[in-house]
Amino acid sequence: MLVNDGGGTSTSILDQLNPLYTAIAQGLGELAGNEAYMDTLEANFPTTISTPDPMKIPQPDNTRMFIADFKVPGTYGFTVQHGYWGTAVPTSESSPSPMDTQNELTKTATQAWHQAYDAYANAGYGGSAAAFRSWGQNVWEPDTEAMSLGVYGLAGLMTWLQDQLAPSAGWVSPDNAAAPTWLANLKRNWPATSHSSDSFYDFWDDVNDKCALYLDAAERLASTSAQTTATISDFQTNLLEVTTKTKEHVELALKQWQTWKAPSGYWGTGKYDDNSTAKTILGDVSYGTGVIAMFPPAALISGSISVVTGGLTYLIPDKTEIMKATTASTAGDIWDGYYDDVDSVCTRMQKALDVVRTQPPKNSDLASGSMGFESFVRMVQADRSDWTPHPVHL
Amino acid sequence: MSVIDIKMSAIYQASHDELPSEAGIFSAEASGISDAIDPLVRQVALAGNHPIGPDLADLAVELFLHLRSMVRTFNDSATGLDLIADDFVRQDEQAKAWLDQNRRYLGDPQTATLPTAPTV
Repeated sequence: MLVNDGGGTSTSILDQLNPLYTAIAQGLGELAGNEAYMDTLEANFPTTISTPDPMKIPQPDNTRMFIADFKVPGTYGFTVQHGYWGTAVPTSESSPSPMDTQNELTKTATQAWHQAYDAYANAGYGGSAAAFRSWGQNVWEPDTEAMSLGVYGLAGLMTWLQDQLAPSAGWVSPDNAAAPTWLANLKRNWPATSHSSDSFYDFWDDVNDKCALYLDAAERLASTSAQTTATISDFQTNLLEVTTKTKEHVELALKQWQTWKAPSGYWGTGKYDDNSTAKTILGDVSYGTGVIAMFPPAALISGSISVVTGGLTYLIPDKTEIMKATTASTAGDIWDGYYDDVDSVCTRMQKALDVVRTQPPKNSDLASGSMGFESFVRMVQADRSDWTPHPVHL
Repeated sequence: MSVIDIKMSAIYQASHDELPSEAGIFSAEASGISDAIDPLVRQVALAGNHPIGPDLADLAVELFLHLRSMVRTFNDSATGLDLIADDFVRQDEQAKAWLDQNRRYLGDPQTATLPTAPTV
């Protein structure tokens, strides 16, 4: 029997993805908030390298630079010291004091932070998390545990059909020594009023030959179902991995903000340990070829492999693409990068399934081993009359 | 047992016991195909409607159709043999006497229910 790894009781892929989606959405919101907060401060008092020296920007009379601590909100909040322009000497009671200006700037920057945060974390129905769910839906939605139960059922059909090929199954001529007693008795006592007994015995004797054809089909059906299930399951795992790395990367970026209190252009070289060189996303053609080899019919009957988790050990060397999300630093770039990464996982899963559908099994001892699955199905449909049991006319 | 007894026993055993039993086994296996393939293909459809789903369904349906043909042939053979035996009973006193003593063979054979077809 097959190895059932008890996946049905484990947490579903979506249950594992949802908290990651929420964390990424909130993290991107905080990154965008930090960017908006700093943009507001910089609009008042530019300090970036590309802009002119703020001290050389002409200011109205009676204005001078002040420096203050500004508290950036958020779970990864921090305090940044930044300059701003304020009235040097208030000329009337209504003119703002430097503290008034600082408070107003703080209020404006904080508002900008929350607006940017909400755009990622809370916009629409469910914020970015809802978009993330939508992007990867073709990967996470299939229930591979339900699929694996179907594979186990088809493996059972294979075993039963194999049993029908044994002489002891009794699908022989009534004159054969292996014929069931009742069949031999029937032949000896066949009613004289019947038109012909031959068609019945032809039918009976041919059942095992037909079952041999059906076994070939059942093996292709079961093994291709197993390959399909394993492919989807493995790409679900890959989506989970890509999403986990994106979440970790967002957290890393937020910690960089805390450390450097400035946008990514100011982060110290080598301090931002992005894992951009690690290949994370699965391949497609090589994966598909590999999964075909992993699930020959014999493996299903011997029960030496699980269709839900069996591919994981194979996949480790087969990650061929570097993630984009983990090479980005801003909220917008990480968003775009994660979209591309999820799109890549979806596309590669489809291509891997294309391979499962079209490429013949390697080193197969199947009679149809030289044909891809799709071609095999078309052949079986075309040969329907040859596969139909002999008619009986009593 | 007389010659008639042996003949009647052989025919009714085949039509009421052996053939319906085989039909039932094949029917269960054919229904098993539906039970297996329906959830599989439904879930594959959720993976972006990849065409491997319809291919899996097509092959499962082919297998199902052939196994259902087997069930029908077993059932029809059982019914045909039963009709032939019943006809013999109507014409032969000894055959009728045998059936009177083996009343479990009265009536039609309990043929197997046809398997449930895949819905995909």
